[in-house]
Formats: sequence, structure tokens, C-alpha cells
Amino acid sequence: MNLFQIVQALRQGKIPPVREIPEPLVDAVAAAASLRGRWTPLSSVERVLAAFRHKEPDRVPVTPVLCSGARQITGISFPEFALDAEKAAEAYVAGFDLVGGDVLVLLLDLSVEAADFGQKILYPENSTPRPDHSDPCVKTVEDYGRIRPIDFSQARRMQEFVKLCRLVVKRVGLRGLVTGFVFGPLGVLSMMRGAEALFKDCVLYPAEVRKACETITGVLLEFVQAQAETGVPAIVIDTLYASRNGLSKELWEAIEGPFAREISRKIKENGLLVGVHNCGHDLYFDAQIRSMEPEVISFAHLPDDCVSERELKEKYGDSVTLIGSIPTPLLVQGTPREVMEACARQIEVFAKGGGYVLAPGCEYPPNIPLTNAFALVRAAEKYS
Amino acid sequence: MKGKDLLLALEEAVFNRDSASLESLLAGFDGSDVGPSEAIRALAKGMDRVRGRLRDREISIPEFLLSIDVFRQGLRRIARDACEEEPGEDRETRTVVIGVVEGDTHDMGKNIVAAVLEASGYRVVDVGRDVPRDVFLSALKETKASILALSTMMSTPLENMREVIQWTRRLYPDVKILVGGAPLDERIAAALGADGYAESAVTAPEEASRLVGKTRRAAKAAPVPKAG
Repeated sequence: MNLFQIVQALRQGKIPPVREIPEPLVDAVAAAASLRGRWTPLSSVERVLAAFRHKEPDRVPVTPVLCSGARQITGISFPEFALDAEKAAEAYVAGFDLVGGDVLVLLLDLSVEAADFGQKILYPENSTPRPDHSDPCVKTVEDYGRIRPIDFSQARRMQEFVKLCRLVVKRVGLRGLVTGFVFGPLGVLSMMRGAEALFKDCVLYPAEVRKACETITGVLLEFVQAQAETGVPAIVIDTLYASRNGLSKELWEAIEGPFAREISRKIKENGLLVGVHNCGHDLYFDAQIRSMEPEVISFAHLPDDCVSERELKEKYGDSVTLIGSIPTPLLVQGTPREVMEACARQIEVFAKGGGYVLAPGCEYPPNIPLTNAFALVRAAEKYS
Repeated sequence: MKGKDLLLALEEAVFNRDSASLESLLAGFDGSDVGPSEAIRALAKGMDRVRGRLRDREISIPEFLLSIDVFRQGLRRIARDACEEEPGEDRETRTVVIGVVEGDTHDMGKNIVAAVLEASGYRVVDVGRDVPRDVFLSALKETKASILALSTMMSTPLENMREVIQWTRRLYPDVKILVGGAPLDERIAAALGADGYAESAVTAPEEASRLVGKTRRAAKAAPVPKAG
């Protein structure tokens, strides 16, 4: 990508694909932003770019990861948020305008991909959509082999998510960095089989599970491609089961690892940044880095090879940008002051040298008041 | 195989999640050589060792789930062939009603906790997932349980959990309430009105024991009402 094309993208209000820009140029821009940030406030895009290139911006970038929680602002229901991209986009942008932040993580819910593979989904009025576990798509081990690729153009919920990406990218423009999202193939399968049965199948019938992952990944690659074409500069892959809540490290690397790598490659082919989200306990930073080589990892708990946040920063802070990790229970129950104090502690540990975005460890709890989302954003401004 | 060798082999079958071995060990089991309670205790010992391996990070959840399957397979087999119902001691004070509160269908954690409590000698009444308040209350009434264990992996059903706790407090004040799940910690558990919080299946039996201990101590310490 040459300078003319970069300027053209910016004039269209789009962040150019960072990977297609010569690295020295990206570093120079990040360094210039970092320097300028000592005297004047940066734009969100400058701030995030500096942080991603491990330079210290004017302050720590922040995202409240306000997803379906934002529907409270526009007064829509969970089903409306999940099924109507226009309404979801309106909620996202309203959340961004009201609460603030530098990054918008687009996520409808974790049932999007499974729904298009034929899993029956329940859409409660007051909670997140979920699979109907009484009627799983994959009822037996043999059913793994019966999963067929779907026509992506007819994949209603994934298409709706792509539309959401397009709408939010357009409306937010250069005011913030908007990311896409894809659930890893094992996650999608867990929606279609049930996590418990899937986990056991991974040990007893790994070949069958891998075969299903292969079929699903084929469609996920189309999903990622379609998201990339909307102008999102980064896509997050959710590999929840690469943690102690999921499979052993070896098993995860053997089953989902290769497919996560394919998805990551597809994202990178489009010049986009790769993010990984994993809110499991003792997550496998090392295995996920080996598999996906992400620029960013969003986490809720410490990885299995670190005993403290300081060790996490020392071990991985130079190679990836860390996003996190204000605990969900604190957001649910804590006072804004307690949330801000937790943010201050994390900023103190993680912010030095860039490579950090302050955020909750997982999606902002969708049914609680937004007070603590404000506290999170305010903490980034106050304590950096 | 007989006597102590059989007990050891049963324990190993659970520990090694060896369903086929368990099946052959219990073929023809009638409780005449080794009593059903002894056999169940051997299975439970296997589960306890597996729980230790999970705690020490030597195995992960899928392997643990497979051991649970073998453990339950053994319980079913013994109950069928030797007419054993449940381990007998302290039954009334050791019944646990467990379920996932309404609004959530994630039940893997609940299932694991149910199994480890069962292996630790509790009679477990599993009311399932996405369970309305009244189902919990009916189960408490019917079983005279001493512990109610509630789970959710989502933050959205926390209000439902609070409601179940409040009604339980009102109707069954002696029942101890244990909660667990991703959006919870000790502080939220206390704020919701629960007596205890189990961070994971590894700690659940100890936390349950602590609560039962509390009940027993409270019962012992309570003044005996005078007749008339």
C-alpha cells in the first residue's frame, strides 16, 4: 500500500489495513504520535496505533467492550440486538458516543455461526441468545461427519453481523478502531453439540471432531473475508477452549490450533490485525501465539505460565498488545470507585512501554447499569 | 477378583477413566464379597484422586469428565445389581439440591460439581439447568436437603439467583446456600445472600463440608426448647 492509497483510505474515513503499510512507516507514525501525545491529546486511532506498536500514547487506550449492554441506551431487546444489524449498529454507536472509549469490539453473541449451521437458537427477551440444548444439532459422534458447508450468502446471522461491521465502520469512521469477531470452530461446535459432550469427544474421537472443525472453518474463512471487506482494521478470534476451562494445551493445539492458524492467516492476508479473546482461566498464551501469531490478546485471567500480572507483562508484553482485564464480578458488584482503583492498579502494571489497552476481561455484563463502564473510561483518562 | 483387590481395581478404573475395565470388574457383582457401600467408597476414592490431579493441573476438564462417567457408571451398576440406594450415614443432613438458575443453560460446571459432591458422600438431587425458582423450592421441600447449590455462568441471571436465595432464606432458613460460576466471587456470593462460594469443582466438597459443619455446630449450639 503506497502513501496515496493510505491517504485515500483515510479520506474515506477508513483505517487502512495496517499490515499492508510498510512497517517502518507504521513505526514512524506511532513514534510521532507517542511524541506528540506528551503535549496534546491524541485521536483514538493514533492512541491505539501507538499502543499496538508498543509506544506510550498520551494515555492508555480503553474500551468498555460494551456490546449487548449498549442496547440499554437505545431501549431495544436482546433479540432485536441479535437479529437486526441496523438496531445493533445504532446501539453500538450510541454506546460509543455516550460512554466513550477508543476501540469498539463488535460482537452480537456466541450463537451467530452455530445458528447458520442449523443449530436451533433460543432468543429470550432479557438475556443473551443461546442454543436450545434440548435439541442439539450434533446429537451423536456420527453427526460430526454430517455437518456440511453452508452457502455463506444465505447465512442469515453471519450476514447480519457483516452488515453490522459495515454500518459501524461507516458511522464511527476515524473516531475509533472497530474490530470484527469470529468464534473459533470448537466454540461453534460446542454450541451445536454441548460443551460437555464435545470435550469428551475431543479425547475419545479427535478425528471426527477435527473433521467437523475443518468443515466449519471453511465457512468461517468466508465470514472473516466478508468482515475484512467492510473496512474493520482488526478481527478478534475467540478461542475459549485454549484454557484450563477447556482442553489440555496439547489437545487444543492438536484439534483447534491448526484451524485457528488458518483463520488468522486469512485475516492477515487482508492486511488486518489479529486479536485473540479468551476469558478462560489459565489460558494458553504460548500455544495461542504459536498458532495464530496475534498482535493482540484480550484476557480475563492470568495465563497458565504466569503467576502474576507483572510476570505476564514481562513475559508477553513485548510481543503482543494486552487487552484487559477488569474482572466481571467487580463490574457487577463493585462501586465505580473500586472499579477505578482496579483500573489504576492495572495501568500501573501494564501501561509502561505501550502494548496495553484497558478493558474488562470479557464483554461488559449486558444487564447491569452502565456506571462502571463510565468508571473504566474515566480511569483511563485519570490514571494514565 | 475379590476383596481388597477388587476395591483397588474399582478405584483404579475411575482414576484411569477405564469404562471397559469397570464393566468387567462389576460383571456379576452382587455385594456378597465386597459390600455395595465399600464398592461405592472405592469408586469415590478414585474420584477424589482424580480431583487431586485436576487441582494439581495434571489433567484437564475432558479427562475429569470421563472419570465422572466411569464413576457414575459404577454407581448405577452397583445400585442395579446389589440394590444399593445410597451411602447411608448422615443422609438427611447431607442432601444437596443443585441446579443452574433460570436464564442459563451452561451446566457443565454444575454437572461436575454434582459428581464430586456425590463422590464425597453427599446425596445429590440435580434439578437441571435453566431452573425456575419454584422447582428449587419444591426440591428443597421434598428432599429436606441441607444444602442448596446454585450455579450460573452468565451475569444476566444473577437477579434470578438472588431471588431463589431470598425465597430459600424465607421458607427454609436452615438450608445452607452454596453458589458458583464465572460471574461470581466471594463478595458477590455474600451480597446475594449465599453462605458459601465454590470457586471450582476442586474446592466445592470442602466448601460444602464447611457449610454442613456450620449447620451441625449451629444445631448443637442451639438451646433445646422446653416442653410446655
